Amino acid sequence: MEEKDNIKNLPGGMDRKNPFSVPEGYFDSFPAKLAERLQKEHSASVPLKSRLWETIRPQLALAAAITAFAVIGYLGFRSFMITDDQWLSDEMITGYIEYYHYEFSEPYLLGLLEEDDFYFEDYPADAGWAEIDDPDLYIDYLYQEEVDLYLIMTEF
Amino acid sequence: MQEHSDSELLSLFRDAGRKSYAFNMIVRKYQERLYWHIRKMVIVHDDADDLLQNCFMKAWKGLDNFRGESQLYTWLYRIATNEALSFLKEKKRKYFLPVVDAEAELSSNLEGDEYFDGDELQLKLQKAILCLPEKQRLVFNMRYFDEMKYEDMAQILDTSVGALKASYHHAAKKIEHMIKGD
Repeated sequence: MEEKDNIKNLPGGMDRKNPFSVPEGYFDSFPAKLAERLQKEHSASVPLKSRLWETIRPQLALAAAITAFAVIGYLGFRSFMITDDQWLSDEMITGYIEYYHYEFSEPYLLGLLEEDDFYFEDYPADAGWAEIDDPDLYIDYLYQEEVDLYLIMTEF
Repeated sequence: MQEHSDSELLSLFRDAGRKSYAFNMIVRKYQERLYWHIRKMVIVHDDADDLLQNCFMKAWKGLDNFRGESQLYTWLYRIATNEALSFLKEKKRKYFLPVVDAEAELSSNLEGDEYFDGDELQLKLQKAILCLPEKQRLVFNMRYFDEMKYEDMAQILDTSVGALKASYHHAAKKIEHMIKGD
């Protein structure tokens, strides 16, 4: 056999003895070491999506709890600090709007001319500006007082 | 411990309840042969240990798809061979080692290896083997030390018997020349 001859051609004394060795007990412990690594890899091979969810879930829960706490705290603080009398009523808002709307209107100017005596006797004192929004009432008033409308219009 | 045949081990492995047991048996049966195969290529024990683990990890993952077209041990040998060759290739690439430096490094590892028990002649032989190209070295080790059949080697290395015989012939001549000329 050619290959056998080749082997024999190598210098004498060179047998096929394995010159390498291993740490004591290496082959006895290797299967257990490998099993441990397989177990670790198996744990790590859980799908990435699942691992990601497992990782961020407690953080998301914490963030949600903090947010809920902040919102509840803010609402509680606000309801505690702002009393009822600080809220604007619908009437007040209407009054403001009406006031500024009529600030330079004819009734307002007439009111200024008449100074304090602007309200009609028929109207309650707390009626507010919204209650005198009827032009007929002003006209009646001017007629009763014999005010010259033309004069008012030309003067103001 | 009773040693099962490869076909028995494969049947056991396909039984989901005994998969781990069967794989443990396969590891026990082939660990030494594969270790020495790898060790002769990479020389250092720690590297051989890592590569042997990698080899069995790949076997664990691939064994479900093993259809028995080749023998189990030639399949395992092929994985081990690929691991060893990839390791050496990566080492050269990582450290930008030219071929000569890579051989010199392996020789140096051999001399400083606490797990090398050979005498001076064996050291000389190993150094000569390390001067061979990697694939020739592989062929020489498998034939000279493991006394593997050319037919099995052909399956593992995916080459023809004739090419292997020629490769071994060249390797043996080179080693003879190196030792005599030393």
